[in-house]
This record gives sequence, structure tokens and C-alpha cells, in this order.
Amino acid sequence: MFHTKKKTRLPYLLVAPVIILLFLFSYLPFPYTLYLSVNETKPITGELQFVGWNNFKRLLKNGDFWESLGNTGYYVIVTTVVVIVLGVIVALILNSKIKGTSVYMSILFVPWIVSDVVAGFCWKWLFHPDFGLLNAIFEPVGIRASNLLTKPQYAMLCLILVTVWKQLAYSAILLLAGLQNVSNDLLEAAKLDGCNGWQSFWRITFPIFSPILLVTVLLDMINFISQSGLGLVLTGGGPLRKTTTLALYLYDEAFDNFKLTNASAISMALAVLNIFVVCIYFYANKKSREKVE
Amino acid sequence: MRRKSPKKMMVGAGKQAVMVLVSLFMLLPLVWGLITSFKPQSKIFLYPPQIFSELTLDNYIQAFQREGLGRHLVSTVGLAVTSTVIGILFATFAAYIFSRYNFRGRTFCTTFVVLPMLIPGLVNLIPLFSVYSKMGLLDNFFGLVLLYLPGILPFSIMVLQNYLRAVPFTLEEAAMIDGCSRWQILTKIILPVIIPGVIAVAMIGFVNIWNEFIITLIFTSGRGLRTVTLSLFYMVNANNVNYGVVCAVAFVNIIPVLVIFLLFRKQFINSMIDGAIKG
Repeated sequence: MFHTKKKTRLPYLLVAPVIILLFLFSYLPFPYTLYLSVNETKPITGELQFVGWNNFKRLLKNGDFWESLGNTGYYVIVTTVVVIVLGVIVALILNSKIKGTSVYMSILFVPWIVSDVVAGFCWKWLFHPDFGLLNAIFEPVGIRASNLLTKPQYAMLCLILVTVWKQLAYSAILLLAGLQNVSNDLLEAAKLDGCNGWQSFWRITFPIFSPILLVTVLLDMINFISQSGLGLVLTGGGPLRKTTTLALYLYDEAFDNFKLTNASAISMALAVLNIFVVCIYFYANKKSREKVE
Repeated sequence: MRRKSPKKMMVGAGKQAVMVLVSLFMLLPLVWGLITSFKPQSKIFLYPPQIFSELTLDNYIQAFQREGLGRHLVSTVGLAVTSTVIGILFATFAAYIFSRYNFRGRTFCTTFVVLPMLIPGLVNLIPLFSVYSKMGLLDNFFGLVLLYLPGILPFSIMVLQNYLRAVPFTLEEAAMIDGCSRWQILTKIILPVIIPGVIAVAMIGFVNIWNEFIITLIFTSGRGLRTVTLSLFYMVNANNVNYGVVCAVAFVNIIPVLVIFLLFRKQFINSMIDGAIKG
């Protein structure tokens, strides 16, 4: 480390652009959102008027809010569970060094690198009610697959499917990195001592791998809590608000209806949810690094 | 050669089967879109859908002639390159200082860079939108660049710090004792080691901005500045979706991102892991 005993301004000068940018665009907005959430916009003049907790009180009585909160919970939990289960399976297979690993890895990442718009659109086209390819594939089995996106009871499942499709690579690769922390020598030694596959997985691999598993679960949850692009393209929150998550509700109120004060109140709920999970992530990430070192 | 036991071969085949299924699932939507983009208008709306039909470039020609794809490509490249260059320059400075200098306020600064993760980006966009519209900054090129930067800075700094940790400080001390200047240390020792990292975060930043559409959607009016991804969003949400042309635009949108990924796959994936679990 260079110690700056001499009064040099160099470190400050070089760090300043980042600090200033983040201050203006990541820190300053939040107090302003908080301020907006306790105000109301007067109809004609557009001036702000202090109304205290009114926006929040109204929100708590609003069925749409509770529904979107419920949708967020459902979406985040189911998507995370599916992504993690599939991710562990894929990571275990890739970790066993089968043929074609690098090809599979590239293919896995293709959905992850394309834009949410491309992803949402391609799936929308597959689900097209009249000309969708999924109809043709599943018709022999007796499923009208293409109606799923427009049916209230199935739309969320479609959104979850598309999210899993897009995010699987991210989770799988982090989980694979976790599995690679387990040294082969250790597993060889266990084998010599007479451990079978299951025993060495649960007794050796899992304890070393579990901190990364937890971190991956939390990162997935953080991603899904504020996910809005896919929903916006695929369903736009419909049918019958069944896929309107908190993030989409916030987007609609702020940038379609331009009710910025109301949207600010909604965004507090989203922020609280996010802060809660991110704090656990910070803690878990620190723990997992300590364990590896 | 040792023969594998039948049980082992079964397990191996099972693993391959799972991976083939997963790969098909991953590729199906995009490949179907690609096929559609080369179909003539009359063959797109058929049921049951035809996988093989005559090929045409009509959709691509229309995308460039009627949808202004060329113009959107130019503005997307401009926005993405400008933001990436500025972002990576600032991030490299910061990462270098954080990992090499012990100055007052260092812990404060490193924490300051990580904490923005607490607040979802969408939440910050509300007040920023209100300020931008009052200041007449909507549809402004540099206004957008400033909005993209916070999205790539913290991640890039974290990844670059990781690369810098790989250079032992004793190496620099030795060079200093041998009479190297700080500038020589920077160019001869530090840069060669972190160049792969710089390339990786630059590529990831570029891809992120290339794919971004929510910020661009909110902070543009739709009449002026438009990126390819945003124009795709408008096309998908139009009343009459021309699926052939939209598929063509989607593929023009994917190609640069796909090429970058395939070229820098290893650095791309490693940096992603660094940013998420090592930071």
C-alpha cells in the first residue's frame, strides 16, 4: 500500500468522479423519493403539497397494492426455487467434466446475454394464440399451449418460465464456481476411506458449497424483486393484473399514469423489501468469503 | 484401455441427455425467431407453422428502410461506446486507488461504492425523471450517458479490484527500489495484469447498455433519440405487430452482443463470478 503521508491530492482527484456520479444518481434521488411520498401534486398548478402519511394510508387500503405485493412474493419465491434446483442440477453435471462442457456453457448463456425485449418478444411469438409454435408442439398431447399467456391462472407461470430461461445461466455458473471450491484431493481421500457418492456429497461437498448456494439464492431474489423488463414486454402486467408485480405497479403509476407521489409511496415498499434481502446478501457474502479464505 | 462399467455409462448418457434437453430449451425461442426473420410475410402466419420455407431478406430490408434501423444502430453504438469508455476510465482510476493507496476516507469510499445496491434502480428513476423533465434533459445524449453510468460503475470497480489484488504489492516495491517511476510501474506492471479485466468489464458494460431499455424508454420521448432495443420495444407493443420485421430487428440487436460474448467468453464469465461472490 502506498501511504499518503505527504499531502497529495491524487487519490482524491482520481476517486472523485465516481463518488460524485454515484452521489448525484444513486444517493440523492432516494431522499427525494421519500419526500415525494409524503406529498401530493395539486391538480392544476402541479405544486407539491405536504400530506403526511396520506399516500401510504391510501396505498394500504388499495387492493391493487396488496395484489402486486402478493404477486411479487409468488414470482420471487417460485422463480428462485426453480432456478436454484435446475441450477444445481446443471452445475453438478458440468462439474463432472462431461464431454461438450464448453459448448453447453455457451448455449446456456445465450438467453442471459440477450436483451429482455428480445427474450420477451421471442417467447411471445412462441406463445402466439393463433400461429405460435408451442401450439404445434403440444397439440398432439392435447395442450393448447399458446393460450397460456392470456389466461389469468397461467400467465404468471409463463412469466416464471421465461425468467428461469433467462436467468438459469447466471445461477448455474455461480453454483459451479461454488462446487469448484471443493478440492478433488478431499473427495479422493473420502473415497479411499470408503465414502459412497451420496455420503461424500452431503458430508464434504455440501458444507463447502452451501455458503455460495446461499449467496446465489439471495442474488437471484434481488434480481427478481426489481425485475420489470421481462414482465413489461411479455405480459405488460396482464391479464387482469395477474402478473403485475410491485416493480411493474410502480412503473405503471410513475411512468404511464405520471402519479409520481403515489409511485414514490409504492417504491418505499419495494425499497424496504430490497434492502432487507440485500443486507442478508452482504452478510452472507462476507461469511462465505471468510470461509473460503 | 479400461472399460467403463455399464452403470457409469448409463449415468454419463443421462447427464448428456439432460444437457441436450436444457440446450434445446435455451435455443428454441431464439432459433424460432431467427427462422421467422427469414420467412416471407405470407409464410409467417400459417398454422401449423412451417419450419422450412423459402428464404428472403425482405424483413431485414424493411427494417432498415422503413423502421430506421440504421439510424438507431448509430445512436446505440454512440451511447454504448461513450458510456462504456467514460465508465471504465473512472472505474479503473477508482479501483487502482482503492487497492493501492491508504488515504483518509478509504473505507468510506469503498463502502460508498457498494451501498447503491440497496435501492432498486427503478426507485431512483422517479425523482431523476422529475428533475430531468424540469431541466429539459429528456432526449439528451449526455443525459442518458449519465444515467447509464451508475449501473456499470460499482460492478466494474469490484471486478477490477479483484484483478489488482492478484498483483502483489511487493512486486511494485521491488520495482520502486530498482528505480522505476510510478508511471513506469503503472504501465509496465499494473496495466498488463489488469488489461484482461478492463476488457471484460468494458464488454459487460457495453452489453448492458446495448440491451438497456427501461431508462431509455422513460427518459426519451420516442421521437428523437432511440436505441435499437427501445425501437424493438415500441415495435412489439404496436397495434399491428409485423412479426417478420420485428424478428429481423431482434436479430440485428442480438448479433453484436453474441459476437462479443463468444469472443470474450472466459473473461465474461469469470468477471461475472468475481462481481457476484468475490467482490
